[in-house]
Amino acid sequence: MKPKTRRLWWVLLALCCMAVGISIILSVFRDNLVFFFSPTELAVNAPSPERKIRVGGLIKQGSMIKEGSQLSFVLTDMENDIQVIYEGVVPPMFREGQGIVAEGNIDPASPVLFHAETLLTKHDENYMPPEVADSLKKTGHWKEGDAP
Amino acid sequence: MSMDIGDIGLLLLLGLLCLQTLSASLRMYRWTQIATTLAFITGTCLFLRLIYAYVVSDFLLINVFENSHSAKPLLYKISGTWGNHEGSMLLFLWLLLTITALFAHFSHSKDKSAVLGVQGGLAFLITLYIFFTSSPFLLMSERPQEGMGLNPLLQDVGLAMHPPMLYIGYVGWSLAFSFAVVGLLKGSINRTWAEHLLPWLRASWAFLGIGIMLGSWWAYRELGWGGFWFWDPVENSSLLPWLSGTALLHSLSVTKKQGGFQRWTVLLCILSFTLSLTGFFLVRSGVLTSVHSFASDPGRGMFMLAIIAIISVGSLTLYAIKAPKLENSAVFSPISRESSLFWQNILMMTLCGLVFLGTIYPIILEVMQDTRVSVGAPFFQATFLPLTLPILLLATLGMLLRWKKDTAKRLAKQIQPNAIAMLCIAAALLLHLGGSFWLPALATALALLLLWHCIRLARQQYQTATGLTSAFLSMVLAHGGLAIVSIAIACYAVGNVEKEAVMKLQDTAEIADYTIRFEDIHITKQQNYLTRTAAFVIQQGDATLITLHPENRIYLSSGKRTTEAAIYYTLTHDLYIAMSDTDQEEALLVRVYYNPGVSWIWIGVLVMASGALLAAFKGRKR
Repeated sequence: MKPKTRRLWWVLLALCCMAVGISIILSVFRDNLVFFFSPTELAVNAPSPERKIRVGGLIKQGSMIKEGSQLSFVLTDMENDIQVIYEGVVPPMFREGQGIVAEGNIDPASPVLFHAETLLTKHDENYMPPEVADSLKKTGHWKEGDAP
Repeated sequence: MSMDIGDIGLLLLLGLLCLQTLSASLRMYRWTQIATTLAFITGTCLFLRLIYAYVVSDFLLINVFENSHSAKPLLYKISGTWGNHEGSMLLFLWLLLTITALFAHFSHSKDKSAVLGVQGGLAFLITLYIFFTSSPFLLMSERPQEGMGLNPLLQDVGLAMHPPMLYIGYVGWSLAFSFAVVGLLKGSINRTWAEHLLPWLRASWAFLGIGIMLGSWWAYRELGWGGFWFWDPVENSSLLPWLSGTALLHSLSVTKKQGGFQRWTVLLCILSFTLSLTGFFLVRSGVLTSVHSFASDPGRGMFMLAIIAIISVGSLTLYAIKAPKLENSAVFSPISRESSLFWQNILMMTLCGLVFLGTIYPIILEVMQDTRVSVGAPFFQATFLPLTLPILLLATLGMLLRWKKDTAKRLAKQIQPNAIAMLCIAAALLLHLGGSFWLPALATALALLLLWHCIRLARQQYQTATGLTSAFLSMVLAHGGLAIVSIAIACYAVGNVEKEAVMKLQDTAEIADYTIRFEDIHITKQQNYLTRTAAFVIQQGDATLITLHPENRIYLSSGKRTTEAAIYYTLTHDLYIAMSDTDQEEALLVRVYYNPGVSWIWIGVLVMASGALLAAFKGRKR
């Protein structure tokens, strides 16, 4: 085999490996994309309960109930609500009226119930997650001067 | 509104930096030196002026008012200077000016003044940004009585030192950039060029590594989740320049040895600095939702983005024009040290690309489609971690191979005895731990191989006529540190245990071979916060070892709450307790973690950094 032909085979092999590698990486990537939904977006277009998603909003006043190690509360963007259940340790800065993001899955039986695996709050009293702020802006309930 | 002396100082600095750059381009090098020194003095005065305002709690400055409080302990008043956007920008600028001045004083490079010119240009852009969008010297209309306090999560020694260390790393890559630009303009990318640049980059790399480690150490102790790396976009942003910087250091050593890899090295110089700035921008602009973004003004973000665009587009254009004229003189056989460094570079940049993809993609998607997405940690774990295996192997092979040309037979002879031992260890670990832990098992085996050869080569070199040179020792330390970190992470991955329990007074919980008893809980007042402290007695068998005191705190000036974990450190593992922040008194929700190996991660990083610093200081070109 001429050296040039041999080189061509090496290049083709390298390209094949790269293609395989890249497609593996991209598929792992796609599987791990976690999309964010506001309660309104959930009401309109609920994703499959198998997909892990994030939901964000304000914790509705008076909706926090704690039973043993289970916490339940309602997240709202002032237009729609979603009921959230969470087991486990509650992060600091977790208060009614606070903007938070919850990560988990929708209940298979009921699209208005959300099982949260993780609660994301910020360590700043005035913090509003950008996604939550934007979704509040979309529903027209954003007050200027609410610190981002 | 009147102008603070600080703002006037910024204007003066702008003028000096103009002088620095223009005089260098007109080849009036005496003026470049003078301007550099004056710029450094001015920058230092500005930085001290801000620190002074914090120390005396001068709330007339908006920045001090928003971020400080007279009840804060002194250390955190000082570190509060850079615990906010404007202050940290000023710190960044001051470090840039400092490293430029150090370079002016210590370097013997012929291109020194030209490099100073480019550095002046970079500092000019940053100062412009500070003056127009982020001045820490803006004044209130009247002096308030008290400040608004500092984020309590930032009141921590590790986090106080994290920005300075990290920024020293970031600004160091500016020298790589300047050298690259000057080298391209003069067409002089050669061995001497590499020799003069390497020490500065080695020192920067060490500081960057320490800075990343401090951030990770802080997250481990402060966030209360028992982990130390969350593949958070902010963490990833600091990792990117470290990954490309590691590739750059190794590529530069080829350029230094025999003048090879020139085009690639120059490209990496530009890329590493761009990644530093991008990482800086990502954190400062509030584009990311994560544990620590705190700037929120889009105007600033756009300005910063414009600066990055100018710098990267400008330098890449220069590269496109000038690089083809560089002769790429690397000639080496497929089995040689150059070859292993080549593959190491490929792997490092692949890792860099992966982290970049996972970090940038959500931002791009949001800009283009207005969809919010986050990339989960499993992506990084599935793609990044396996690639560390060939890197560990190359770290061993690279040390054993000769430059230019070596043979497989010679390599096999050096590695054969312990390669077999390593395979046995790997097999034993796999059998013992089970198939799901194949990655930590292989990583441990490869890291042990690396560690073994580091020690063996060091001893061998010590017994030769030349003895153990600092260059050799630094290579062995850096690679040995890498091995330590890898083994530590593998131990953690395999052995960490997490337990949650609802506990009332006198309840016990068990983890590993420890028994934990909830003894006491009470509330006390400290200098600027209220704390609810619990006492947990740790017993092992019959012996009582220690009492741990995790806390929940409320900071008085702001109402912010934090959880302080309590950690019991031993040589091999940590025992870690955090309690949830609830208002109930009767029962606590407690998280306990058994974390093997974590302390060795920090130690390993320090060993790596010491190797790089040794090479930086001892390997200087006289």
